[in-house]
Amino acid sequence: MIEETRNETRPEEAAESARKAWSEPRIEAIRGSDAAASFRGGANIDYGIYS
Amino acid sequence: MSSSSSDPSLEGRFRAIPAQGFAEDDRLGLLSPVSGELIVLEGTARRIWQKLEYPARLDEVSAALGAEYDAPVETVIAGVRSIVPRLLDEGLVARATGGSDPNRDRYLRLLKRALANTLYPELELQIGFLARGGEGLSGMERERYLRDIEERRPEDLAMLIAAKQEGGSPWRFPHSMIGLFRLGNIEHCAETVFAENIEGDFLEAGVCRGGATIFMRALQVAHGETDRRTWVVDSFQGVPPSDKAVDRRYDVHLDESVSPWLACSERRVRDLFVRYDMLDSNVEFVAGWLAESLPAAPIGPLAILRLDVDLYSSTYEGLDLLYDKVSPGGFVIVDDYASFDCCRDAVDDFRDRHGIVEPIRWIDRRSVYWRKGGAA
Repeated sequence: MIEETRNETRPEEAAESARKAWSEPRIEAIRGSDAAASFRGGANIDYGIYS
Repeated sequence: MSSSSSDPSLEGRFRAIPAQGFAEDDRLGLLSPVSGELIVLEGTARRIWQKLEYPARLDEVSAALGAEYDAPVETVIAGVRSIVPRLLDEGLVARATGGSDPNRDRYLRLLKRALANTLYPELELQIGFLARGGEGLSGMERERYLRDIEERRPEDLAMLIAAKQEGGSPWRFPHSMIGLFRLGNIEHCAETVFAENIEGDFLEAGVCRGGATIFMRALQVAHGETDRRTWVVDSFQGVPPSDKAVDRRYDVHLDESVSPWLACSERRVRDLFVRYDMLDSNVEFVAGWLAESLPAAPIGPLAILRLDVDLYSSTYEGLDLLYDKVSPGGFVIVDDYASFDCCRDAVDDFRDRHGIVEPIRWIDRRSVYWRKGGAA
């Protein structure tokens, strides 16, 4: 099993650069009471992984 | 790589400074102490801020990001130099003063990520995948899915990393569930204590697996402050049942029968200290319910008091029994302030009754701290 896994070539790796694509750094300022609400509850996400 | 800009205002070292933080996928939100606006950093802007977690020159940041990203180095330098002035204006980055120890910084950076488990996050995705039954896959197909799970489930990975930044669920697996913002807050408090020579030990009540206290001890060791002690205070059997009158007012039940992951034995916490090579004679364990264990414990002055005990009764008891031990200029951190109304009420009631007016500062969306007045 280990040998077969080791020999496989992932198509994603073959097609993509080994390094991440650079994009211009972006900063956005959000004003007022909407600011925190613009972030969904990242601290409460369970996304079903453990269900 | 050397700096290609002649702008003298961007020479020297810079460092991110504490601000209330939010995290979601590859976005990071920081509440500006200057404008009061939420400054949202996306993608490479987030990485630039992260690279300034410890003092660094902008050419060092650019060189590191140039190795990470597929872009001409001039492009990366220009990007870094376009963002940092804005962060400076918003009070989210400052010019670093004083000396630093790059090796210590690297150790502490790595330690935080080990405790929050941002080093092996794919393992948590793999556990989830297997817990769901492998989604019907078997044999080599399942093996390849497990191997490639970061590419297969990039959105889950991004959410998981964001949760580890902010300290929230899913929190079953890492050695510390409090996340990188709150670990950074402990570090900020400790650095201030060391720099200003505030008297006292560090203490956390409600340690679960002990990750935050391991980090407290690591900060003392890494900064050569080993004469200070780290107090590890817990029932080591989880959160008590909510059967006291003050707790029955709230529908919060976190005892072992409901939340088994919050119960961790003292033996296991000690073993974790050993794994991180942080157990020594100045790490003190206090076992039992707070009202019973704390009065008998020989706890002296505290420079950092951290409470993570959820319930009204436990939070109030912790403050009642320990607040007077906090030195002037010391810090009080409350992990669950916005997680549970009962915790917030206990803190607000205690502060009201004792006339505590030092402002509460937010760490992230859940946790707060304040600095006790009276420092020389």
